[in-house]
Amino acid sequence: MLNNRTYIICLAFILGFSSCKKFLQESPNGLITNTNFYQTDDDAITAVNAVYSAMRPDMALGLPGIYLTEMISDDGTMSPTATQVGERLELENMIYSSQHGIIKTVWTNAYVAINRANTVLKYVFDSSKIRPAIVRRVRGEACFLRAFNYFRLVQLYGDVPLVLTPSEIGVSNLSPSRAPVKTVYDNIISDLEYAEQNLSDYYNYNDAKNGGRATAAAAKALLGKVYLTMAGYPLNDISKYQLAADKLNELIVNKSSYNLDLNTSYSKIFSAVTATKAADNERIFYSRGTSGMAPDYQAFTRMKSTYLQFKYAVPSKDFLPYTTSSSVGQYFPISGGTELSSIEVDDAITSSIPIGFSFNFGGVLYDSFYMSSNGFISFKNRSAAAPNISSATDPIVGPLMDNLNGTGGTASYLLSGTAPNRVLTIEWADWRWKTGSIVANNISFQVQLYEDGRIQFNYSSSTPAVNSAASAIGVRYPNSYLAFKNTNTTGGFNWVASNSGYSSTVNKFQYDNGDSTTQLTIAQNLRSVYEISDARRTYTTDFLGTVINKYSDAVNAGYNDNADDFIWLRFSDVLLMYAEALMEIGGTSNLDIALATINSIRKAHGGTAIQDLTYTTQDDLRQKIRLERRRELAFEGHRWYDLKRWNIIVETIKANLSFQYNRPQSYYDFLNDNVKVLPIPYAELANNPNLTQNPGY
Amino acid sequence: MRFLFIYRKCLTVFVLLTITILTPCSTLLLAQNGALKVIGTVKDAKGVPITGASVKVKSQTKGVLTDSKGEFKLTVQNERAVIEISHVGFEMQTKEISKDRVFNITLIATATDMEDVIVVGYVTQKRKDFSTSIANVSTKNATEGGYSNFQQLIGGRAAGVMVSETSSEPGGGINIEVRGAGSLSFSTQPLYVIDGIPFEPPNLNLTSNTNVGAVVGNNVANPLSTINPTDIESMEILKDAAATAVYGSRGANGVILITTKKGKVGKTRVNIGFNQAYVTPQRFEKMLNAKDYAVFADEAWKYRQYVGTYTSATLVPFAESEIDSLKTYDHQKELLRVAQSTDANVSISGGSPMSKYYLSGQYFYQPGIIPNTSLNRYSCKFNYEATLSPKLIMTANISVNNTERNGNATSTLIGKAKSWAPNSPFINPDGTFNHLSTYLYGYGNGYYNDSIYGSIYYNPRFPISTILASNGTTNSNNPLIYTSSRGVKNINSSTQILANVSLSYSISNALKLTGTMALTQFNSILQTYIPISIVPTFGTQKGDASVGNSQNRSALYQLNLSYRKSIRLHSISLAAVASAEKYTSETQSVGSSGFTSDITSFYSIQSGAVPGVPKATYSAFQLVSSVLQGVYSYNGKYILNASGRFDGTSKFSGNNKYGFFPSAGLAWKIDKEKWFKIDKSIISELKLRTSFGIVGNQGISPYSTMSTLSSTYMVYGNSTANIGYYPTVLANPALKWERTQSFNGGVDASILRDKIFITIDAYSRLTKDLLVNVTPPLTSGFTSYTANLATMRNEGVEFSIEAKVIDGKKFRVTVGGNIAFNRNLVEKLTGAAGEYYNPSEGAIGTGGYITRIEPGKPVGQFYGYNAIGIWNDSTIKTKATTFMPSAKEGDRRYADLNKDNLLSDADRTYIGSALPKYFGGFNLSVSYLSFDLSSFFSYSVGSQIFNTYQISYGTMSGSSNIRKDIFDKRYRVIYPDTDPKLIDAIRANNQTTKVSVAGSTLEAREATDYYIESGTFLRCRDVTIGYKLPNKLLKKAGISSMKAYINLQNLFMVTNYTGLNPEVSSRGGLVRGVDDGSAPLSRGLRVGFNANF
Repeated sequence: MLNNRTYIICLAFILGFSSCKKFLQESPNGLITNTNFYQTDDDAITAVNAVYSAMRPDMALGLPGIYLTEMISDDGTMSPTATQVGERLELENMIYSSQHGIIKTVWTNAYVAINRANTVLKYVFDSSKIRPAIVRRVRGEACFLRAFNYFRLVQLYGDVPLVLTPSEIGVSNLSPSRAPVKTVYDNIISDLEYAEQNLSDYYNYNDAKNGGRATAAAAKALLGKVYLTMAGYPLNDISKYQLAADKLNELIVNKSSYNLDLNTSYSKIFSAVTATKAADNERIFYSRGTSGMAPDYQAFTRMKSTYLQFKYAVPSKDFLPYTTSSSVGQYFPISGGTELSSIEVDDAITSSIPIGFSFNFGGVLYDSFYMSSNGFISFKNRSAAAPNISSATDPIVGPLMDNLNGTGGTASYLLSGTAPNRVLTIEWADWRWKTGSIVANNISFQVQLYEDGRIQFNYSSSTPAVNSAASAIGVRYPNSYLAFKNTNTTGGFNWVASNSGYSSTVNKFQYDNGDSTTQLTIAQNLRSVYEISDARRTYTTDFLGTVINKYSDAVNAGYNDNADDFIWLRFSDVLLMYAEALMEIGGTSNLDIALATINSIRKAHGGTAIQDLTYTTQDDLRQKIRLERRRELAFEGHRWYDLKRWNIIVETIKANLSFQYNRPQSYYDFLNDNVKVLPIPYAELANNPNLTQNPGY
Repeated sequence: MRFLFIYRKCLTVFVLLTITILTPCSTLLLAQNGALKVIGTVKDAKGVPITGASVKVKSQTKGVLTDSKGEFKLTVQNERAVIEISHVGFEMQTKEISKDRVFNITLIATATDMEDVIVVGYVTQKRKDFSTSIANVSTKNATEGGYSNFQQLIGGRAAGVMVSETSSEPGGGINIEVRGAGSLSFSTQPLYVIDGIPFEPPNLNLTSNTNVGAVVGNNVANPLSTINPTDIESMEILKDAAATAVYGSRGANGVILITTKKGKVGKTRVNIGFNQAYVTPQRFEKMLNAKDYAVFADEAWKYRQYVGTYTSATLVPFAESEIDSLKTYDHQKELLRVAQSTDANVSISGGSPMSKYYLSGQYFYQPGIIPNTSLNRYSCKFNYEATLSPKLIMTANISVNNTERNGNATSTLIGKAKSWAPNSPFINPDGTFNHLSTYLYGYGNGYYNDSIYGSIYYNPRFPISTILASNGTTNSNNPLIYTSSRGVKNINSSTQILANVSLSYSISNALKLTGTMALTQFNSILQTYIPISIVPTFGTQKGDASVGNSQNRSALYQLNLSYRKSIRLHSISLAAVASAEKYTSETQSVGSSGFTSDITSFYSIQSGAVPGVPKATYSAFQLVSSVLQGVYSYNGKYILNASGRFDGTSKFSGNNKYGFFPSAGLAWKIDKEKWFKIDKSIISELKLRTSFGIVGNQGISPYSTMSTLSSTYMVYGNSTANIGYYPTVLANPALKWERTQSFNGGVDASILRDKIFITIDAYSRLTKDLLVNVTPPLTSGFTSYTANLATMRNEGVEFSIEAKVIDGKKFRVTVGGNIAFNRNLVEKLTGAAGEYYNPSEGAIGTGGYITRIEPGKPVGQFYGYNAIGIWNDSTIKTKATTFMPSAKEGDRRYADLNKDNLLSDADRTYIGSALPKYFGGFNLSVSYLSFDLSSFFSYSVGSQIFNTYQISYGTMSGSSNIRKDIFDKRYRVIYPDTDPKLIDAIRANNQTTKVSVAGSTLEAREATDYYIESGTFLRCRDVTIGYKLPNKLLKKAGISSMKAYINLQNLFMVTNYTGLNPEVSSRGGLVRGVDDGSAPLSRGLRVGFNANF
């Protein structure tokens, strides 16, 4: 080498260069190198900014992390109308392998953020050039973000490599082996403890330089979550329940100093309006939606396109309040029923008539009904007759809502069967279906109320057809309705269920052979997560399917512009975790506080229509808290972690898939304890000989 | 700026040197007193007077130059004086005065004017004296106007040089690989040296700043497409390290020497060439017609219902009654066209012994076979050589090219045309772009939720007005959007200036000092605009404009001291060279979106409401070198070549900056030996060659050894961006050159009175310290770093033959051919036990890799699952439940190699090789009287291709169009209502997968041998028929010669490959033979003439 240099120096002499060394020096004019950085306050702050921005790819891609936690769990499923990218279907059907792209992306992104945090922690330390307050704050943020990412990793993958120094060739070990879950948690706790002591209590939402940074409140909330998780599966360290309760209680007791509180309106938490977001005190740690900015700055959240446009995830069947079906069958008229002659006229309604059993309609039990001559029954007194229910807000079941006339017809009802399979049949026989001033043909139809909550509409023949196309068929719950439309314009029926309108083009109920009838069945979904009047039901159902509209950003047009923030930690979560911890610790006073806590959330977010909960045993309360947690935090990326913590993930997923695809549970027996952790990405195993794979992958 | 300072200093030195050189010259011209007067004339061998020849008294500086008649007058002191007569290009003569006073001197031209010499490195060598492996590429056809592009010129002509035309797009890409892969992660492309100056093709990928990049496939021109082939005098491919070592750190992948035409002494010659070409695509693929497509779609719908994914309300199938009335649109034919290109060039050359010039101009217009794609090139070149004094020669080579490339990436557009539903037109009846690429609800990114039907597609059932209503608001994949004049604009204009000037001073007869300064400037601007009518994939802003500039500059300063002497049987050429080079590359780009009018497009970025983030980049590297090169020949029998080069580069750090690259070669001309008794009429020439050399590759990016930080953005409380800095590079300070050592042995023989000429070469190349882009464990937070780790060997044999079968005066037939065998072996990666490396570029679907690199195996090996047919009605029942748990009848079945009843990574194996067993080309020329026919074929045997094309157009996803042959063999599911009589026939035909739920895509395991096909091919690259017009006729018109020709390019291809082009692009050195959408090559008919005046 010396020789080479000698020659080069000779050459330099020939060319008259004063120094060849200088000529061969690199000048990366457009780049910063780590030797001239980390010198000033701004350097330190921009370095930690880049840790936050490492979380951006997760957001920009429509939250790969959400796919994992929602699609694998029983909350989200794939829309049949969405682009069925194989990978998402693999998550949905639990057939992913270690080569799964999203599983790798989540792993990669977490470690990119961790490496950036490690870089900050290595280079930003007490020095004369950076103010001590900035050093502490920046280090606190880096610690929080490192803990945040390790917490995700350790839950998703189990034992993971614990890398705590920035990656530098020749300095650090690039091929780490996996650290036990417990060790990872210990580091998360120490990082969060540093963060909670050194970070600000809160920042204003609109603070241009700080709104959305990690705060002491965020560190405490995450620490509480970490303790709660450690108390559950797989560590089962139940001593942590008390630590969790205490840590979370620090936020609850001092909520005003952390600028925290329950938002009294559930929907406002997910608003895209800046002022509304600024007024929300639920937010503890969130990523900001950045609509309207240049694309390079943008796209922290793409939740709207994920949930609404592409329907990558939609609610599973668990969330549907009812299921509908139509069929062709025979019409069996009532014989021996109780006749209600008071409505065998035009525009009349009966007084209260007993059902004979308690009928669950929209989550409310009714014992009596009112029958109208205009083709519906109501569960509330409608003695002031209303021929059309479109203005009503009452619970109504309408097999044929039109301007009907009972003159000459027979109205009757009949209770049959034995408990718990009793059926109440209500019949309008030979009823006049008139159009305008013309008195037209007679029609017979029935409503059947089954004790299990099912409702069935049956129609007899009507010949010939009436001229009217205006009629309404459907049911109305207190704040939701379901209508049926016949989309066939020529003979026959093609019923679709819809909540977009009542009017239908039905003008007769007759098949060509004259005997058959069309039947519509509306079954209550007994697994349904929400009580029908729960205001947290943030999804909509129409005949194209059900979509999640929790992040629907009504402010910005289009799907890719999303001003909704994605909220990682919020106050209701803190309250729910607090309730869970207390409930698990047990003792009447703890259980009572836990119950009061979830009732406070129900009241604030579910609306006044829903009732306060009560409990009988600790396990009863446990189930109620878990259900309440699912209701409150649905589609926010918590469910998978919750199911794992409660150690009910395998049976829940099996049951969900079996329900989803209508297959026996045994079909999914290939799912076992192995699914409690994801596979270590294949590429990672290939590149790091010190890693081992999780069992089963 | 440090460099600027040095630069100035260097320039000063250069000028000073030049002045120093000039001083003796000027004194030379001063008259001196003397006693005797002598006169004379100097002529060449043909009797043409030589102007400007130097006549002087030996060992004195005084002398005179001959005048325009070749005459001189000189005063000498006495009769003992000896005069020396010399001129560049001629052997020097000495004459004793004695009694003579009048001299008639005939100078003999030196070898340098003969056609078979070439400057290799820094020394002029006779071709016959090469001791290294150097292949000459005939440029005859280019000279006569047969080719308009460099790509066509070089294709497959030399043994061991694999040339793949990766695109038929005007100005599209080319891949050249000399003697197998030389590098793993970095470029395997050779170094181009144009008139002695290394040419670094600039990287232009940085210049787009569109907000919605996904819409536009930005396309920039291949820098080599700027070269005018008619300017090329000769082209040599240096294959072995002994030949390329003189290019040191850049010679590892071979060197292509391009020498441009120079003026020649004599009358002014004017050459005019003109041709017109008509180009069509060479191949089309047979896709489904509308009727088959409707059947296909309905089967998908039926299957969907069967598996219960969809309810009947969400989809409307084709009714049986309407299937027959569907109209078929042949989208490939709609998209592609016959393109007519024009090439006109003029050159003027000539000169006197004092000054020689070559001047040329070309206009070349080549439209692509896809509308709105084109290459427009204006180029001019000026080569000048002036003899300022007998000892001082100045040369200048300047070329300026202006290239405008228009259009978007072709291959993806052809792909889109193929997958577009055949019942759905590109253009709606009202003239607007259609957006519905499939019949299906929810597909083609564009659909219309009709309140009644839920979906709209081109189906007779739906009125046109309804369809149009669905078209207004969606983004589209319609290929015409990119190809019509109202569509997406993508224009790359570049100006390239290559200039080098040199001054050469003969210190003595043997010693010459040459100073050269070469400047290259490549300026390029990329302009893109997406009109308002096309809604981009990302973001909501309509109308998106971007302008990107790049400036690539290079400067080279070189001093060359050369010594050339023949003493009796010994002749020696030596050169000592010092050079310094600097390469700078800068880019700037701006963009905006949210336009309200399309009128101004990218000419008015400020008219977009939402500005993009402006960007600028800078990168530079420097190289300092000193070279010693020499050729020694004894009696024309033994020839020794040797060179040593020291390179210092800025790209590496510390001691790794410097490298030494030596070489030596020996040639033995056996036929010159006295004992060689074989009759000259049998063997007229026999030469043995052997050589050894070490070369380097420094193809990494500058700053790779530094830990650099990049900026990013973070938004906090309100809509302003906060800057963040993060480490971007996992820096490896220990990086150094790749070093390739290579042995070469060869034989050249001329047999049967020079009728047959044979060259055989065998070589072994060992590349150590290969720079590899290593994927570190992702826990590092990085996805890549660079390290010198691997070792790779290439060994091979090359054989070429040229035979004059018939060599009559009227009738001549020449055949020639070459064949090359190369064996590649990766000997080491990092050295860890059991290691292998999966290049991520080869990912199929997501998460699956298709290639694997492993010690003990060659590069280019496919790795994946063995496909063993389809799960049929009987095998699905006996399948283990754990094996492919979600598989259904009609899904592809994979082999469970390790028999563990799980389909896992362990079931993958080597499934094919992308490397050919042998490849080459052959030619046949026939001439009779004034007619001549020449043809050229290339072939490659034994390679395999992973046809991702087939995945795209053979996946029965029930939405986009697919290939007919795949459809015909599809697996038809036996439903309960299937006619029992048909079941056996259906099962017999069930070979490919079933028509599946629309939109369902591959599982990640589709890295399977099912998609591997043979890449063997024989291609007729070109056939030219020429006719020389009779001289008598031409003389009257003042034309000295004229030739008319018809040239057919890519006339036919013989291959079993089902894709469009078996010469698939290799995605760098690692992932080879993966066809992910190369466009078909163009078949062209070219008619033209070439005339000399």
